[in-house]
Formats: sequence, C-alpha cells, structure tokens
Amino acid sequence: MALRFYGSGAAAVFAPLESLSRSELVARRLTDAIALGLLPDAEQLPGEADLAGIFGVSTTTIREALSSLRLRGLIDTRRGRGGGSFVRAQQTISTEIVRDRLDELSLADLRDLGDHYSAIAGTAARLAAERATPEDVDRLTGVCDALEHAEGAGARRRADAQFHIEVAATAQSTRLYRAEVSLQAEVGTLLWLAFGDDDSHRLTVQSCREVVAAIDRGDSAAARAAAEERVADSTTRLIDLRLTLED
Amino acid sequence: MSEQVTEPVAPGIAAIQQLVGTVAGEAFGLATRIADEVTEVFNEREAVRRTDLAGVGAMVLPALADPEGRIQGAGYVAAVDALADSRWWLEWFMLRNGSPERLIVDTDPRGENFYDYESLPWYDVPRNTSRRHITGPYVDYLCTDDYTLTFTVPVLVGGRFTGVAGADLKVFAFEKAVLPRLRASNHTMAIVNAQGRVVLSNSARHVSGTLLRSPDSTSYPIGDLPLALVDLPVRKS
Repeated sequence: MALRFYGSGAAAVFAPLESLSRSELVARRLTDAIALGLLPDAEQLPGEADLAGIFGVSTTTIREALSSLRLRGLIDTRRGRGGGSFVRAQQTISTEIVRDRLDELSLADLRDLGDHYSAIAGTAARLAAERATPEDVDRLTGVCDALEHAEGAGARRRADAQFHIEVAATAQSTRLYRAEVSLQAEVGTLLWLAFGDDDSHRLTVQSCREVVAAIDRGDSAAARAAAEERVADSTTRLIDLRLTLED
Repeated sequence: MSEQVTEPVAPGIAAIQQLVGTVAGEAFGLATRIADEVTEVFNEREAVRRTDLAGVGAMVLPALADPEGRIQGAGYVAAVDALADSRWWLEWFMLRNGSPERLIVDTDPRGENFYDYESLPWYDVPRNTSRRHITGPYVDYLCTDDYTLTFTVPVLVGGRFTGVAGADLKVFAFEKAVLPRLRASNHTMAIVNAQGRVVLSNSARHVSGTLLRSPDSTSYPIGDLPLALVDLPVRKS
C-alpha cells in the first residue's frame, strides 16, 4: 500500500487502536471515575450484564475489570439479595491511584498532556468569547460562584470540571465538549493532585473569573490566553510534583 | 433587532417560513399534547404522583418510534413541589443509540450529580414568560449528548405553573429538513433564534451556533415562532 501523499502522518491511521486490553481500559475508566468523584463512595455499580452493554464489551471483560478494582480495594462486592459492587472511595486510595499513575508518566508525557489540554481549553475559551450571549456569561458566572464556594477537594474538583465543560458548551462545540470530558477523565485526576488546598483554590477561582471576564468582553485573544495560562500553571505544578517523586 | 419585513415576500422565502413552521410545529405539537395530558391529570386529582404520569410515556414512545419522525426525546418536567411524591421529577423519554429509554437523572438535591433544572433556559423561560420557548442550538450534555434544539411549553393548571412539556430535535435533523429549501432560495440567509444565534444558514461563514452581531440586515419573522429569517451580508471579494 502506497501512502505517498500523507507521508508518515498516515501511519497514525493504521496504528493499533489501543495499547491496553479492553478489561484494562474498562478498569481505568472506572478507576478514574472513582478517583474523580464521579462515582461517589458507596454508589452501587450497574450489574455485570448492564456494564457489558454500556461499555460494549463481553461480561468476561467486565468480570476481569471488576476483579482488578476489587484487588485494589476500590470496590466491594456483596453476594446475594441486595448484593452487587459498591464503590469504596477513600481520599487516601484516590491519592495513591493518582501517584501511581503519575509515576508511569515521563516529564515529556506530562508536558505533552499539558500541550494537548491547552489546545482544547484555549480554543474552547476563544470560541466561547465569539459565541457567548449575555445569558451564557451569567451561567458561567454562576459556575464560578459555585466553584468559589465549593468546600473540600472532591466538590472543588467537580466544580472545576463543570466550569471547563460549560466553557466548551458555550463554544457551541460538541467535539470540544467531548474532548474536554475525556481529558477531564484522563488528566483531571492528575492535575488535581497538585491542587485542592485553599491557596491554589483561590488561584483557580481567580483564573476562571479572568476567562469569564474576557468572554464577557468578547475578547477572544484574552480568553484564549487566560485559559492557556491556567493550563500551563496546572501543568507546571504537576511536573513539580512529579519531580519530587524522584527524591 | 433589525428591520422587520411585513410586505409580501418572495416565494422561496415563504416556502422556508412555512417549512420551518412545520418542523417546529411537529415538536411544539407533541409538547402541547403532553402539556394537555399532564394538565388533565392535575385537574382530575388532588395530589399527583409520579405513577399518574404514565400517559406521558404512552404519548412519547410512539413519536420516538416513528421512522419518519425527527423527535429525539420528549416529556414532562415537573415544577418543584408540583408532585406529591417527589420534589423534582422528569418524566422524559429519549432515543439513545436508536432505542427509546427513560432519562434517568439524579433528582435528589443531596446527590453528587443532582440535576438542578430550575435555572436552565428550557425550563426557566417558559416559567417566567408563560410562553413557549426554543432553546438552542446548544450542546446538550445532560440529555441527548448532542447538538440540540429544545422546544418547551409551560404547563399551566388553572393559571399555576406546574412544569414544562417539551421535545428535543437534533440540530442535524432540523438541518436535514430545512437546508435543501434554504439552498434553493438563491438568497444567502440564516435562521436565527431570539438571541441572534444562527440555527441554520446556507453560508459557510455563519454556520449553526455562530452569533450574528450585525443585525442591520433585513429579517423576516417565522410565524409567531421565536425565530427569524435574516439576509446575510454577501462578502465582496
């Protein structure tokens, strides 16, 4: 097969679809959801057959994924009536998961994640500035207020994720919204590892307000710059944290 | 926002007005039938419970199953405290991967993912204005997970706001229905909503979702819908 015109870029088209097994992918998705607080403590997971339907995989794959979650203490499985798999989300487990994940990534990987995230968040903010109505700005302001008043790492993380999702929705882009959600799932936990304390929370709120102010002025360049700076700042903190793991 | 034309319009424009009226009428028609059904339930009973709303599903499911239909989802969203057995409630059905299912959201305000719909425009505008409303196009990440238009009407029982009834249309379904007629008009035009957001246009520079910030062009009302047909400036090369 000749791939003359597209050069080596075309190789990406024919690259393997996923390097992880399906059960690892399912386990990772559920792990991230638990660590992110999307699946709260004590929440009952859907049954094996339902999960298989949701993820589009076999029940054997689901069983493997659940068994790895169980081994890591992330779920409890009870038999019999009223049984099922229940989330066990303690803060310490969450932090451990994230540290393990961080340890698997090189400094260049983290920089690259930051670059990708910056492309999505920056473009979403630019387009939001072009496309926001006064009602959209009111909604974004409301999300900033909720973020400011959020107490505790879990609530702050969710409010922050909500802010990013609302910006992508204000950009009127289904794709940027989906990219944002999958980045939240992939890097949200990592980025949050370096956040959550009161000082960084204040900075987060301040940078969200800057993005909204630029969107309100219809200043797309400033909205993009503010969003990119925010991602750059989170990435730097995360890389600093990664460096301390080497000590 | 712009100069409105009440003169007789060109046949191409009249055809677009009529077609948009028909497509929107399909969604508003279903919403109105649901509202009537719910109103009847409220009139018949002292206290309405979730199980009394079975008529909504019976009305929506055939509409979702209709292969000719464009409706992506529809139902009734109860006003807070309107029902006797749940403060917040959505009796809403939608197509997901081609099959109808009931939308399940967290209606417990203490829940982590509580779906607080009171401030959302498709609920808030009909409540505040007592008028029907078209929300969107918008990224509906809570329900259809797609680019959506939501048509809602207030459910008023003896003058009291009891929630909204509504129907969702994917922007793509609207586009499929209307774009051929828009293309055939020989005008460069956009259909815009009350906020000036383009619902659909036949110009690559004003695709669905963009805001029209130069409202000094001629606009044509579309029936009594909160939509208008606007002549777009032709870019000179």
